[in-house]
Amino acid sequence: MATSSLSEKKSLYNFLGLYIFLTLIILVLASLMYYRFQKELMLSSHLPTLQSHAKEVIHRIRQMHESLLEDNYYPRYSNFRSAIYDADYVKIFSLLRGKRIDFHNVLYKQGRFIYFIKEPERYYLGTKYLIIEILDDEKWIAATFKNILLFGSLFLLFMAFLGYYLAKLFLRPMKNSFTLLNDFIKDTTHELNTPVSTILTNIETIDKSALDPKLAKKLGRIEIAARTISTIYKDLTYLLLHEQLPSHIETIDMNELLAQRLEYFNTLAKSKRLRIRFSKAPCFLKADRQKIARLVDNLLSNAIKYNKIGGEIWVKTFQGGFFIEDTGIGIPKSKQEEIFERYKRLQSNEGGFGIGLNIVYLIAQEFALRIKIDSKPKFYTRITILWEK
Amino acid sequence: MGKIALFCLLFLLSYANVFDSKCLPCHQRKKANLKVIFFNYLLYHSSERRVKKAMKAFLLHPDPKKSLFVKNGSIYRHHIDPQILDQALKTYWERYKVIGKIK
Repeated sequence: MATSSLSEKKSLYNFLGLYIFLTLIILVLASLMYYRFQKELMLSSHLPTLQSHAKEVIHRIRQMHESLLEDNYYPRYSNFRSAIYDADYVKIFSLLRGKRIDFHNVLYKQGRFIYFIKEPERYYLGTKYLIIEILDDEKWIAATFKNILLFGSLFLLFMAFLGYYLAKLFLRPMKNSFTLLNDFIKDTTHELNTPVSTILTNIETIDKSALDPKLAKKLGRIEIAARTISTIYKDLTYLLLHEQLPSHIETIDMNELLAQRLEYFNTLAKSKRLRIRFSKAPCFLKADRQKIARLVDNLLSNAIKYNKIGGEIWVKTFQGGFFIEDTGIGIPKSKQEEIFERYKRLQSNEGGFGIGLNIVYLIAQEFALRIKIDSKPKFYTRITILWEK
Repeated sequence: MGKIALFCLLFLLSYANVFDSKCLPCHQRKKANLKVIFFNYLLYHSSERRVKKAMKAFLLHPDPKKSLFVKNGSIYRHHIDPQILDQALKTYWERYKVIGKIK
């Protein structure tokens, strides 16, 4: 449940990240297009005035030309400025404040000025290009930004609602599958406890030394199977109920607990002819005994499950931690981050639901334990649990 | 050595003054106002490069069809060395150009 919502959140964030990124791209492009459109509109609105100014200047320079420059006073106006350039873009005369002229554009804005380039019918005074310059009050920019902000916000709001709806729609199948799996586990585990406990209790009461070796072997197999079911049951119960389970904090002698759990798994380990090495040093942990037992059980269960036949398990305690090392398949570096996710299994041919390490992770989180993985694929895996001394 | 230098200087001066010594008096005699001609060329050709190019082309290869003044009548054929013409046109442009004269 917790992990399913985590996974759901992760998918939701990924989807939202992509969605927001695309929405912002659309918004930026639309804003740019709107800005350009408004700019063009503004320039077009000035065109009649600029043409009228150009006409006035052309009329005046024509007079100057016809006087063979005896009349050489260039016209000056309070509301605009002008300049004249020849066919080779050489300045003949200029009153402009702007320095650079873009001769490829007839009407454009540069800095705070609007420029209009007019070509007279004849080259009066050699003028091929007459440039008219007026000051832009830039009121349109404020209005444009205001509109972009307003409509952009509305667009974002709309897209947010749409995104939320789409996210819900897309995540529904995933949520359904998680719910289905959780319900299935809940239903399966419900009636498991009593029969499994009965089997185990009865097996423990049988004196195996008095039995025929063949029968004892068969009984051993039944015991392994029953213990496996019991472990799965305990894991599933923990998963389903761990949020409601209160923790009884006590000082646990980890050597004693590990020895007990090793004894519990002894039959299973023997079935794979595993050699168990236990190196002890004083090791105590303040936590809930039942929950730490679950953590140890899962680590031991994995160490047995993924070990090779005739392999080895090395359990070592030290001050502030312990480790369990196996000679199994190992965990590739790339997978080490994700093995703690629920329903994640390294090998599908081995049994299990892929919940063991998720339980380890949850318990470690609850008691602020640090998990360290050292592994070399096909050689060994060492999982170290550390805590503050 | 001194004589050679003096000769060169005189040669250059004669080039520089060809407009005043040759073109101007002749045009005054023929009442063909050089300023009017200049402004007409300016009106149709705009820039210094284009004006000089058009004038040189016309003076070296006169063609009534390309004349800005005479369309059907006879035109005066200048017999002038292209290098000397370049110098004369340079002086002509500097004398009547509008750049720097507008206030």
